[in-house]
Amino acid sequence: MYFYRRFAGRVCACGVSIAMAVAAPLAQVPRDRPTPPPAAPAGTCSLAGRMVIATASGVAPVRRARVVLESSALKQPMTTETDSEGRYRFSALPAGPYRAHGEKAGFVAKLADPRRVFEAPTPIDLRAGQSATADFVMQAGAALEGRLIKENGDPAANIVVSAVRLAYDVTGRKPVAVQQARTDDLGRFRVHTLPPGDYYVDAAPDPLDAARMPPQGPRPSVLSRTYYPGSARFDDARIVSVTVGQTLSNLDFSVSSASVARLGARLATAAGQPANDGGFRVQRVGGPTGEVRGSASPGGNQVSYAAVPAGDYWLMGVWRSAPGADAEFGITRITVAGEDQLNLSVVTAKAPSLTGRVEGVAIPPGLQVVAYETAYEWPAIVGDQPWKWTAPVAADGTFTFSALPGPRLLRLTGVANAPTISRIVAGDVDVTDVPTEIKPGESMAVRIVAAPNTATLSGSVKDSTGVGIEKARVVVFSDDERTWGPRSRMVKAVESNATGQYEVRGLLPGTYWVIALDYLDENAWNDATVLAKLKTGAISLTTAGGAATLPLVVKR
Amino acid sequence: MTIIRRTLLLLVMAMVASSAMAQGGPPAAPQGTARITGTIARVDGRPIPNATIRWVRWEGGRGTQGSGRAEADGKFILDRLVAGSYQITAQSEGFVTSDYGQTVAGQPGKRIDVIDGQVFEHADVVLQKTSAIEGQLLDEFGDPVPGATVQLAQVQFVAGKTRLMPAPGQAPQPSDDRGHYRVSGLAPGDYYVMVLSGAFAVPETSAGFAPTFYPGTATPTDAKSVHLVAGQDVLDVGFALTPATMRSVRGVTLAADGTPTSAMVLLAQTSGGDVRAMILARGQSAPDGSFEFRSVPEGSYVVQAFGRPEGGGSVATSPFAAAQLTVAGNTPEVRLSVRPGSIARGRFVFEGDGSALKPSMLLLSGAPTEFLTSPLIGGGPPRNTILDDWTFEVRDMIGLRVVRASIAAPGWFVKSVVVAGQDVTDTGIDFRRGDVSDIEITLTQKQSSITGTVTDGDTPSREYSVLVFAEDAAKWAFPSRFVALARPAPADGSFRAAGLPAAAYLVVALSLVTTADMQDPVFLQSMRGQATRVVLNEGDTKAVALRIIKR
Repeated sequence: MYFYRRFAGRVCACGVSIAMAVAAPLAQVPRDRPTPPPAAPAGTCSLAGRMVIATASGVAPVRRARVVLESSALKQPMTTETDSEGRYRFSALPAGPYRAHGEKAGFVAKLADPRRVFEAPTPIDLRAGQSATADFVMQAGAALEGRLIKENGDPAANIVVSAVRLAYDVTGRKPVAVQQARTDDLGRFRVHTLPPGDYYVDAAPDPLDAARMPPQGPRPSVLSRTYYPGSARFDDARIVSVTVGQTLSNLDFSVSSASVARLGARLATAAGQPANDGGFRVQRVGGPTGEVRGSASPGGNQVSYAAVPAGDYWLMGVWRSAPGADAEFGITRITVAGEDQLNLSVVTAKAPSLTGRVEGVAIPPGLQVVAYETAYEWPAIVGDQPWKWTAPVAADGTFTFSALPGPRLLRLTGVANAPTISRIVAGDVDVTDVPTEIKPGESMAVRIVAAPNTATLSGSVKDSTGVGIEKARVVVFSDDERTWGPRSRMVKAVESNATGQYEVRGLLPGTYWVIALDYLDENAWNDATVLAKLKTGAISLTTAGGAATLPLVVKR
Repeated sequence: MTIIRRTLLLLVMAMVASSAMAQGGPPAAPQGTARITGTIARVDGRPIPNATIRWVRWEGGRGTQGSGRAEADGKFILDRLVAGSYQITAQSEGFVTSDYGQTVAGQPGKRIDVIDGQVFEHADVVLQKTSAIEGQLLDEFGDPVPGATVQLAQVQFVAGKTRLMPAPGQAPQPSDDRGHYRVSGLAPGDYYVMVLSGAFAVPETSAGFAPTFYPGTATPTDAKSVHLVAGQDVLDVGFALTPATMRSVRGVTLAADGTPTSAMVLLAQTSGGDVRAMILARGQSAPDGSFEFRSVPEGSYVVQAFGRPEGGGSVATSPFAAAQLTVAGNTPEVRLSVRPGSIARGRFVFEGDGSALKPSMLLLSGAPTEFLTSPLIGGGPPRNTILDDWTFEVRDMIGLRVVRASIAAPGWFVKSVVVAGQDVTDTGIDFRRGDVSDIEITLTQKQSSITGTVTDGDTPSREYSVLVFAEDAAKWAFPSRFVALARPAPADGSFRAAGLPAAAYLVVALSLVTTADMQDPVFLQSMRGQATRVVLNEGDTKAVALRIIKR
């Protein structure tokens, strides 16, 4: 099972509200789906296999399960279903690296190392003409059942209940939903298809529901996010553990409510004109997008948010005068404390621009500069794709962002082994690791200096008996704790290959700790507390460039 | 699909003041001196807190609406009301929405007449708990089917036939990992349980099954309904899905000149030569015209393409193409060339003095009588051109259509629609081969009517419905001019069914007749024996005295 990706879609469901949220309440769920032309892979490879579940008497087929195949060689993922024997087959595939996973509600992957159940599956490389086999062994998924009640004892219906695990992303450790379900009209829920393990249980209304059916009354309140066994604070949440196929019932708890305020805002241009058909977003300061949903008047410049809990928020607006024209951006910070605020306004301004040059390295084709958003995420304009904050680097090293609002961290991307950045300077100001915000309408020029002399560290990862270990995590991190954290240039992590070999490229000169672990959560190396613990058992290494070899013994 | 339902409502609306009419238009600020108060409670008498109270003040056929809210103790006050006739509707989650004075679910209740300064107390409404249907879905091996989409449907007369139409306001529900589903929030009534998968489910989920109906059939006409009594859940509506071989349906949409064009594409299963269950797969072809529906069970289908609407964005004006198709191994690619609808040309003639009528008072439309060649979705009237010389041109006519006119002048009715000397008022006009000219639509004021009074036992009644239907069952196909519903006039309790074509009619009074009853040939047949026969010649007005009969 490939949970990580499936969830990314669900939890990050981006908060471009808006116009859609005002669909007629009586309307059916639209049976609308894009029917893109078939990807029509024309190749000579095939991938086939069987999906089974272990039973007392051997194995049984998992029928009508979905098998999803993803590859850079495909325009879009392919899917097929297993037959009555549990078999599946993809044929006429172009050569390339493939990842396949199986899905059927009630079943989860049975892996040799259960900790890897949330990781992307191991790639399968298909060479021209090759027919490969990939079987899936499944086990019964676990389930969490219970009933949610409101403070008055009535059932809490249509609440989204999530089985949550802690996972890391680039900014650190945070709760991530593994599976979700809605409570029925009796308040009952069943969150199923869970790998065995430890979970938190989180209940919260769908923010879209508040936009569709605004809470009524003079001092409206909505049910607020509550963690089992009944706390608004994640720190007070209790872990529930499930074994293979176990159904844990009676996770009954009470969901509290919190008063909410209505927000209404207009988007205007710097010249005071209404900015129609723009995009809006309300994002809690320090929070993810999508917690608060609103509805905008199509074609107009007004937005309303029917149920905003107390807190500090960014209120953002984006607009452009015509398709293709440069977008204008506006943002204001607001504090919500129960009182309605119906006359807010967001004034847009010409976006700042950034130009620059990548220096000190031959520019590989495909190199891009990415400008990460570090404080909030701008909404897209209605009907547009989400923003992609990247700029191609020309052969002479130059790049241009015609619009770059908000604080940004610049990095190089787009190619395997992108050059390591030595420093980024704007005039004589170092902005390498400091989010930089350019004032609206102004322009900034930066130099991204690639490190001339980086080191490559390679070697083998073996266990204590001398056997090479596949998929071990090798982490190389600076001994200077100030360099740790999101998008660090001095923390690198790689996996060992099938023979236990590893290679870390692009190390800036300095002193590092090096450690090999049989397993480490994806992105855990972005968390300083994790690195601090890893120092114990790590090997110290100082490099000034060049190639070095370092054999490692795996830590468990 | 939603659009079809609206079309249907429009047809029904002319006959029955349904609460659905109150949905449109901005709420009006009350400014009068009348007041209506009451309590919203459960069947056991316990108050229901914070129910939403909607009101509609009816004047002729038009409604002005507003709303209020009950307090925590269930009591509500609607004040500053303008004098008039009010329909009061109470709504609360978990309860069946109901009108004041309502006796049958889904039908309007009793109106409250208030004069200036009057306080009407005890406009009390009792709300029933909603019901739920639950069950488990299995495959042919007895294993649970997760991720199938459960959609409830109800029988309706649409485009001349009874068809299974999605139940209004019911979002499809997915089955869980045990194959278990629950659909809640249901008003009492008869429901068909449809299980959709593959191309017909949103999001596209498990495939491998034909759309299957309770109690386990893939044939819509073999489906059985589940009867829900108020407040009672039915928990054992489980069945096995019908396995099917899945295929892809590929095709291309072309403009009339043969160049590829992007279009909305609908796919619907056919059974016995028409679409009997409104189960649609919906997609959009790419700019190069190509489209594909994956996971389509083998069987017979109609595919329809709707190009970019030509006028006003209404789907009714889309260039259109339809094709029938058998999906099996090696299904050929479907080519759909969308073309503008045909044009109906003709003229109006008047019996009597038509000088008070203006062309702007008339709007012609065409109701489809089948879905093989007529569009599965509509919405918006076709484009009308009616000139001062009373000639007309109506575009967007596709397939087989019964032409209808709405006339914004009281007392005028369509007497007949004649093409080349043949009366097609009720049989419809075939637009499949192109434009149809020489249509003569005769309008008349010589209305034939049935009027009368009703007693309940020996007491004059003001709480009844009168059903009028042609003796000849061939005239019942919906939308029929020969089936009408009349209710007591607020002033004196008498009824009047006007605008009836000359024919022999049967008339019966009941405590309540629903629009579904009107469309149900079995029900009409069952009323024959107890009905009073009235023969109407053109221009006749005949009076009858009826007594309410029990069902």
